[in-house]
Amino acid sequence: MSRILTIGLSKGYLMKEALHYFETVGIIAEPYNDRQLILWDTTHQVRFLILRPTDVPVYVQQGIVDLGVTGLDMIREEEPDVCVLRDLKFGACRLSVCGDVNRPLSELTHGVRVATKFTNCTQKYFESLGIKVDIIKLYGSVELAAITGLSDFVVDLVATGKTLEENGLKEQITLFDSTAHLVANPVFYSLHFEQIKRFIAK
Amino acid sequence: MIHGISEILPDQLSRRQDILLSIRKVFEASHFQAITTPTFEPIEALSKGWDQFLKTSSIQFISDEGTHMVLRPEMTSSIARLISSRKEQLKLPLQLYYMENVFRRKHQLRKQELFQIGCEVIGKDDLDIDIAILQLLVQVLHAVGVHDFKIELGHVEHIQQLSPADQEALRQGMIVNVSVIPPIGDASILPKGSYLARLATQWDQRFPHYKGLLQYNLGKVESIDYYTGIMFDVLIEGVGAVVGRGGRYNDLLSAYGWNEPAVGFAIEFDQLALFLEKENT
Repeated sequence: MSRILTIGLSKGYLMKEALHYFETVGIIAEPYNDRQLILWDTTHQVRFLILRPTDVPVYVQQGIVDLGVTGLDMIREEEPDVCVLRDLKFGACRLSVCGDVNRPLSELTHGVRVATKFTNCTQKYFESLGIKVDIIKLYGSVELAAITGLSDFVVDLVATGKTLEENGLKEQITLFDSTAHLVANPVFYSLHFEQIKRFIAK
Repeated sequence: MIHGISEILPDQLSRRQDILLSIRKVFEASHFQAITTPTFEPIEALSKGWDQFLKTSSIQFISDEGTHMVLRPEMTSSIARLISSRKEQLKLPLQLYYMENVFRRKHQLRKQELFQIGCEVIGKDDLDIDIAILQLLVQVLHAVGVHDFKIELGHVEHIQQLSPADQEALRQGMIVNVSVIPPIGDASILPKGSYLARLATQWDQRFPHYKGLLQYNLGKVESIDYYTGIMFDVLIEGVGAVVGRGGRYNDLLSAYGWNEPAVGFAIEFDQLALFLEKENT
């Protein structure tokens, strides 16, 4: 098959582990430097695009890339039209409600302000509890919102909990656990099922 | 700026109308008649045959008189509602086509206003008519210059054999949670004696020159769940989204008071036009 396979990867610490996974299925990346946006595999049959983590679902849904590696957190947040093929089991973290260590959970009730990057997940979670909260959309350093009083609680990703601890915050409730997942464009999945099989073999 | 609507300038519109004209010719050569429906109407009447997907993705509002209204989110139920209310005036079988805009609630990258081209055959339920609808779809695609595509077929009888958990996982695209991944491929994957196996044999006999144009997916599910028989999608290499879809829905009309079977398809014209514009540049 001469068609080039295009795979979207998240820039950052997940990239090495993603490339390691592709090695296990026989796709070996050529040496690269940190500024490269496009990498090739040693056979030049596979091309990796290095994307911002939040952009991977869009590239996959639009079919610009055939496959992508993205966190379950992004899949739940963006709800892209993609096929989720496999749990890659690295990059483990949790999406959690966090607040000041001295703030009891009982204060998490109607009318509290919750800051987060994950507005969709946050909205759905509080709706399922029947609690009406005011959601503040932020783009980074979400912990600061709870420290400075911009919000009463935050919903954010927690890996080790160290950042929270250093900032006097506590993880209160876990919404869900997340790891990196391999996703495919649905049309690509159907048209190249034979090629897809090796990625989903259990 | 409003998200998810299209603004089309004269040059682009003229190219699009050329495409529409060639499609119209195909429908009319096969004796299909054009139909239109109200853009919005009371939700109580229109939503009788709807599943959760259509209910939650449609744009609703309250009219001046206080009636709960909805913009049609697709044409099939809208046509079903219209013809069922006028069944005394109509003669079966009905062969109808439409070229209309439909409206969906804002969701991520999806458009709010879509232009759909489609057709319906009402009052017939057999293998011949299912094959005729697929043949018509092929003719429409060929007429506008799309040649490198596949039609992927599934059937509810295969889905019903899966566990409810697997069905749900497939519907959500969570292949990772499906216990046994249903195969996709040519007619060799089809269980002997199944409806699709009979369809495949007939198709290959009647259209040897269309060989390889159909593929089969035993795990095919659609987001709209009113299908009762075959279901199919149009897949084009390099186009990320499905360009057209359709199937058989024998129970839909009875929700509107007319117990007649139906089969049809709809083409997402915005996807198709985008593909053709890219092809021709």
